[in-house]
Parts: sequence; C-alpha cells; structure tokens
Amino acid sequence: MEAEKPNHDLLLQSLSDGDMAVLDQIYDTYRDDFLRWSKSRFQSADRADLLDAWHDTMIMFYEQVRDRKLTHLTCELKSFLFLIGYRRLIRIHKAAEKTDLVDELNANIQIDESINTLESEEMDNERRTLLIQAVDELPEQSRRILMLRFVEGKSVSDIMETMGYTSVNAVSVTLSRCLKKLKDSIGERMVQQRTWKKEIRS
Amino acid sequence: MEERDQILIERYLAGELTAAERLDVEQREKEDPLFRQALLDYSIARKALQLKQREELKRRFAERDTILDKKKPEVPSPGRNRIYWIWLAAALVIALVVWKFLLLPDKAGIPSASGSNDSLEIALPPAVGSDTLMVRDSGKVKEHIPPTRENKPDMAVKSKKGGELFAAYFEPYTDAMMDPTTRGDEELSQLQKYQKAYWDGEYPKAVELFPQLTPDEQGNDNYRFTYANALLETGKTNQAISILESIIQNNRSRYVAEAHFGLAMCQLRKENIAQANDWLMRYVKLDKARKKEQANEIISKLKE
Repeated sequence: MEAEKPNHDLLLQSLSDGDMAVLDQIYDTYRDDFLRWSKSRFQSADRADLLDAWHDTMIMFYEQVRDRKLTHLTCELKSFLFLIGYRRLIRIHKAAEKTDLVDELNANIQIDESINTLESEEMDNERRTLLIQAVDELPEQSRRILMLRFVEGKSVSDIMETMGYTSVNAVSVTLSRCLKKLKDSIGERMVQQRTWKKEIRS
Repeated sequence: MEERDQILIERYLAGELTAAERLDVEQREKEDPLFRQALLDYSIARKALQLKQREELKRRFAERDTILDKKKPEVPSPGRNRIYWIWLAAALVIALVVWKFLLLPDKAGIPSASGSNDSLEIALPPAVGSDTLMVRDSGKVKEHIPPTRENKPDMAVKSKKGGELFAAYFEPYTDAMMDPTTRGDEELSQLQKYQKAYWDGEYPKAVELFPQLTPDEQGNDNYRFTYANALLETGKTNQAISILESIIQNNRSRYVAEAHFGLAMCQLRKENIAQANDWLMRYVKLDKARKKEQANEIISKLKE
C-alpha cells in the first residue's frame, strides 16, 4: 500500500504539468463508484445532482493540483476525492447527513479547507455570464496567452517557448495588452448592464 | 496608470511578487484609490479567465459522461435480476470445476492476473517491453502486442555497429497511459486520432497527424515524447534528437528519463557510438529509467 502513494504523486505531477489525459483517466476511474457511494448516502438526490457534485469535486481537485497547492497525497486518491465530493453534497443540500464513515475520513485525511469552496459560487449567474462572454470575445491567441499566464501560472519564458514567441519582451507586451483589453471590455459591459437595469426600473 | 504599476499588478496576479513587493502592493492598495481600483479591475479580469476555464472543464466532464454512459452495458430488469444472478453463479461453479480438473495441472506455478474490476487504484503503468497488454475497446477485450525485440533481427550479437544495435533494441515507447481506447471510440478528436495512430503502430500516420494538433497539445512534452519516437521510427532522426533534448531540458514530462534512452537510440542510429554510450550511462543512473536492463546490455555490447 505504501509503495503506491508515490505513483499518485506522479499522477499529480503529470496533471500539474498540463497532461489533461490524466484528469480524464481519474474522472473515468472513480465516477461511477462516486455516484453509487454518494447515492447510498443522499438517497433524495437525483443523478444530475450527484453528477454536478462530482464535476465540482473534479474541478476543485484539478485547481488545487494546477496551482500546486496539492502535490502530495497522504491518503488514497479515491478517499480524498470522495471526501471532497461528500462535503460538496452536504454544502449543496445543506443537510447534516454526516456518517461515521465521513467522521472517520475527516479524522484521517487532512484537506485544506479552501479546496471545498468554489470561490465564485456566490457570484450571480448574470455576472458570471458577463465575465465569461468577455473572455469568449477575445481572439483565440489572446485567450490562450492569458490562460497560460493567469490561470495555469506559467512563467513568461515558458509561454515564450510554448507559443513560439521570439522574446520574453514580446510575451510581456502581448500579455499586458491582452489583459488590459479584457479588463476594459469587462468594465464597458458592467457599465452597459447598470444602464440597462436603470432603464428597466424607470 | 503607469506602465510600472501595471507590470506590478500583473506579477501580483501571477503570484510572482516577493514578500517585500507584496507588502508594497498592499500598502498602496490602502493609500491610493486609483491603484486600488486598477487592482480590483485586473483581479476581476483574472476571475473571468478562471471562470472560463471552469466552464471548459464542465464541458469536458459532460463529454466524458456521454462517452462513459454509452459504454455501460444494459442493466437487467428487476424481474430478470434474480435469474441473471442464478445463471451467473451456475456459470461460475462450472468454470471453477473446469479450471480445477482440466486446467490447473498444466497451469501450476503460473501466477494469475491480479486486480479486480472494483479496484480503484490508479497507478502509473509499467513500461511495456515484450509484455502483452490487454486493451479495452468498447467493452471487448483484444490483445495489443507491441513490437518486440524478438521480432527484429538479432544482429547485435554479431556486430556492435550502432545501426544494428538500434535495429535490435529500438521500439517506440508505449505504456498503458498512452492507450487511447479507454477514452471512447466515437467522434475522435485530432489528439485522440494521433494517440490511436501511435498506439496502433501507424507511425507515419502519427507523424502526419501531430502537426495538426492544437499549439497547446504540440507544446505538451508528454505528447512530444511520443512524436519523437514516431519520428525516430520513421527515419527522421535529427528531428527526434532536437525534441528529445528539449524534453530533457524542460524537465516537465513524465518521460524525461525515457528521453535519455531515446537519445541514445538516435545516436546509435547515427553511428555516434561515444555519444550513445554517454546517454546510456546517464540513463541507467536515473531512478525512473524503465529499460535499465536493455541499456546495460547495449553498454556491454558497445564495449565488445
């Protein structure tokens, strides 16, 4: 059992290096077991709810790995994911359906509490749509470079190599320009939205 | 806003500031309303990017759900459930009897395949040498037999020329992590087509498909490693060398160790015996090297 843990760490490393096939494989391997396991504890939840919780779990897991907050597992990957998913379901259903099993898992598995919150979940749909639309309207190349830098945390020199820029300076200038464009686009959309709401009210 | 401030904010958002610089940003956030507003605006822009990635992940997972749900076998109806289990139990008993009386004497001493379907362990698979991998494909099981050393002429024994050692020892690297058949077999993406071509041993096709991948995928060192193998197999040795060297330099692929072995193979093919030996010597010292035995064999043959 002990010998298998470093393999999990290798998986985390591959995922943090951007190998999304690893994420797919983890998703596929544990999905159906999670659905069965969680259904036995949240009998009132339908399949769509449980799938939502599993999607959120995998997103939270991925983000922790991507941001290199999770580089080493002190327990089995399955236990780790199921505990996140279970906490997620409790949060969604606001139910106090804790079981002895989860108490035991809680006692044995240390999870950074920040993993169990999706920072933007309190954001209303209207605002979320506005932000995503602003990103969608960027040219593909701009979106990619911003994602690499500000979401995936790549260094400027890494981006230069990945995207075939000729100098670090060219990357920096492009990044600044694209980020400013996105910021300005969001600002304009917010103003329009406020104006539109005022018109509706009057 | 000054350019200097924008760069500072960008580095703040990228998490690259030193402790002192962070303090400076926090101080200015308190004291300078314009700076505070700019910091907030840029933070919202970053949040938008994070939301976009989450949306893409959700879409990705929904696609996986479609693939996984299509693969599921039909569930027996409740009325048929009991009969189904009785038949299954009977079949198991018959299989056990047959195994015990007919097969056991011949198979004594051969370890059985380990692992059950319920096993949820994900472990990085061992390198595939001459082993036979069982490949899942739409619920069916077929044998994937990678090309083995035995399939190639055993010229290494007679000669220590690099080209001959290359012919005897090189085979494009595969392991079960590269198996594309576990990821659905319908509506293949360009990446899946590439992975399938490589896995199926259609190396010229893989070489043709790789440049059609997205720039991100082409920049992924794990995929580049397989591409380098396909290039080497199809005779494009110099291109393979350049890719393998960059993989080692980048040090972000799970195949960094194997890239050393690949470079040794490239140099063997080019008859650069000293360089090949050098790469092999480095390779056998690496913890993650999976073909140490083969590498040591080549090293000793080079000394003959």
